[in-house]
Amino acid sequence: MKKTTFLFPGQGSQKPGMLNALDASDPVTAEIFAQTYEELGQPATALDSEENLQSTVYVQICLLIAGVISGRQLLAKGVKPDFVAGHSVGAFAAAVIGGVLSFKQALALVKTRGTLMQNAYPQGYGMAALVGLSLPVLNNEICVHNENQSTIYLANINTADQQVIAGRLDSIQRFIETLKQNTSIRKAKVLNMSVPSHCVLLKDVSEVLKEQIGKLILGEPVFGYASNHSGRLLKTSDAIREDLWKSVACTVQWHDATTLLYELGTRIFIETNPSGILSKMAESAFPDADVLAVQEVGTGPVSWLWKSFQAE
Amino acid sequence: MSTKSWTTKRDEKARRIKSIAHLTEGAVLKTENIVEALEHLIMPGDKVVLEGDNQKQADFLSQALVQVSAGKVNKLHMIMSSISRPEHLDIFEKGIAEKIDFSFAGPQSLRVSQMLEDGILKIGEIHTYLELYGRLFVDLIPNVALVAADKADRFGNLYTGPNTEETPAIVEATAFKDGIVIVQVNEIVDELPRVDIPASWVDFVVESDKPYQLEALFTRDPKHITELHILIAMLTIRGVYEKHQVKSLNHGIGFNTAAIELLLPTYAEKLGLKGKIASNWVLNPHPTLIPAIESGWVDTIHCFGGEVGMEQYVAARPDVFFTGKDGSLRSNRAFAQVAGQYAVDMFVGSTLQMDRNANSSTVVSGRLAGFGGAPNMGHDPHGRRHSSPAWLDMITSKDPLAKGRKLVVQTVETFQNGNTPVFVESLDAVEVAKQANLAIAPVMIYGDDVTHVVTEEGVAYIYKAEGEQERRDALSAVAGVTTVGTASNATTIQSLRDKGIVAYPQDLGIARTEAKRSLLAAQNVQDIVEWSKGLYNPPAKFKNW
Repeated sequence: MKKTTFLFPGQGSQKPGMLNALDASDPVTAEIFAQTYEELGQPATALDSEENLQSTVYVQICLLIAGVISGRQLLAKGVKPDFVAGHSVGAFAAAVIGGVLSFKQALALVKTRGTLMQNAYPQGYGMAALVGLSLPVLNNEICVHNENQSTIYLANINTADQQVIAGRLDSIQRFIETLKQNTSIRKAKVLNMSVPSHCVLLKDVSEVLKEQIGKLILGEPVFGYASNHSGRLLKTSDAIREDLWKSVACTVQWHDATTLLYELGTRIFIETNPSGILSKMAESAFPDADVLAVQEVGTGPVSWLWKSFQAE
Repeated sequence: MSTKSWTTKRDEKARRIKSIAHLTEGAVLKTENIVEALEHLIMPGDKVVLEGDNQKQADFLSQALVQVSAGKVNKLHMIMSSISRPEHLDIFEKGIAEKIDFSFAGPQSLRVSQMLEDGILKIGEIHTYLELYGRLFVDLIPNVALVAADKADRFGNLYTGPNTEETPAIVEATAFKDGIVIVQVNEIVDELPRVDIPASWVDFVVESDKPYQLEALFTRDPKHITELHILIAMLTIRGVYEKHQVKSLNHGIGFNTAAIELLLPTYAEKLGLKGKIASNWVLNPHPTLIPAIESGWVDTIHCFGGEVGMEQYVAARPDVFFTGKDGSLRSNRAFAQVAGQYAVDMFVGSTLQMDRNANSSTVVSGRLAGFGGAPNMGHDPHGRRHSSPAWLDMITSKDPLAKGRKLVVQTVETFQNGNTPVFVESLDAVEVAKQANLAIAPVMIYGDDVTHVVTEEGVAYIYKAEGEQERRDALSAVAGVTTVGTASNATTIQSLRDKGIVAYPQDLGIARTEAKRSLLAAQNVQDIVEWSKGLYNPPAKFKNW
């Protein structure tokens, strides 16, 4: 009994033109594009320019749109997930596909989230992706660094040896130098992300989101939903509501969340558009599982591959 | 005069069995009645053993157990060798079970950790396999056993075949203490190939809707064996097997041991070692041992369990394997554990992490994987009395009462995946114990029991070291470029090499450049199939040609 998880990517996966590249005549796409226009007053195709995608507001909105379209297209083709998991802002698309949020509710929340994040730390802060360190080694280095330098936070735990940190940019640069000297780190890359996400620096953002989402009536989830901030499986709208507002200021426990889904029986991971990053992680973390990246393969082939896996 | 009853358990068993008379025909329980039957046969607070073996899973029964009404069946105390399937833990979320004693939880190690943290389950203790089976006869005596077999007849005689594993031990402890034994079988037949467990030990058999789940855990594809694995294997063969005349042994699973197995017909053959080493084995039917068997290296093998795909090969080699009158393998984990503990010269395994004192552990923070069989194999049983050349070779003192010891060998690559250091100041196990509130840190193999550590740098004969400092120095000398390794200095190392406490490849006549994949008797799974003359039938995921 192979179970299936839909993975929804977050910031970092966006590409200019990612919405313009979609077939607007496809009924699912047309519907989401129409709702986008109703909610935002702008056509979806105006959102994904290279200039716009410099702003996290547009990035997050575009990722939400792409994720929901991709997820709904899969459902329309008969691909049924057992679980949904979204990385960072991807959690909102996961919540929509999971039946907890309507697309418009998600759009309004994501717009607020992105705007607040954009304005919180306009400059001097950032994030960096690290590859090659085990978590205990990284935690130790962070502890030592934080004694004398501006605090570095652990923003993402993505796999056993891939993490993302957040903090002041100059402190991050110094930290990376230290890591290169003291450890066997393979790669350290400052990300094109000016906001220090997923740490206590964004606590105020989470409080506003809490209030906003608190006013909404949510649906009970149709699929299990993996939590960003706790790495647990959530099965109630209350629990998912909390995850959606809280996780912007908490470490993303992606490694735990995906491992949990694997232990619960997931052997087919499908990453929605714009796919690539999450499927690479899943391939290396779970060599036993089948991993399908929608963008690489196409929704049609993904759906008949999925059906053939069911028959195995 | 006291009216104390001495037959309370017997009476209770009779009551429970009577309560499902309407669902059974003698020993046979109908497939569709299983959930209702479990609700009558299991009482709140019962101790229940559920298989949960390493390879074999009684999945029809575990899936039925998760469907019982928690109002009727709750607060169960589960006893399991291996927490393997999602429903093994789902029963805790549903309030059917509340406590668990186990040995291994690798496939569910994150969930166990999370559920412990969230207060959804309580852990009794984490055990080695043999100590868990031991406690089945002491203070974890089962009320109910839920086990799996291949076939049964209408009386309840069982055929467990190659995948017998620990079923006899579990059933014995349950059957002879008025517990109830319920067995899922792939099919009920008129005549069994052989009887592995007699009907008078069994209460009920139920035909499952599909064959029980079986995992291929002991197959390693030779194409993943690296030159590093091969170098370590050569050092181990020369520096340990040959040096101490290791005749009987247990291999833990891994690429280091797979490499050793595949070097016997080639490298070890060239050294003239056939017949002198590695003739009697206790291990699962590793496909990577086939070339050595075919080349005449192996006299006997006793197995803990079976291995998917090896059934026909084993049946065609009854001079080597333990087989029944029907010709198929008979495995037995409890006896293999005893044999591996007491009756072999040497254990060799690999570890993820080791401290300066050679204590080793495989734990990762936030994951509770437990122990399995390794600690039982990987220690020196002080009660052993019979001698063998290898065992005696471990004597380093002139004390007239001195006795030998088991060779416990840890192979280690000094950098795991090229990045996470293996040699550390303090084991993660210490932190994990604090986080999970464990009484003792989950050390896999204690440094006191380790006799040899083999890395790609060389062999540390730590059994020869005198005093803690010399042991640490010996370890440092082979620990490579790590905080532990760089602590060593040139004079100390030379002295250790002179004393024979450390051997570098050149001291053993091994050139690193010799460690090539071409030395392997089989390069890939297809080669192994050829060696087996087509008798080995690899599972689909290994058929990669």
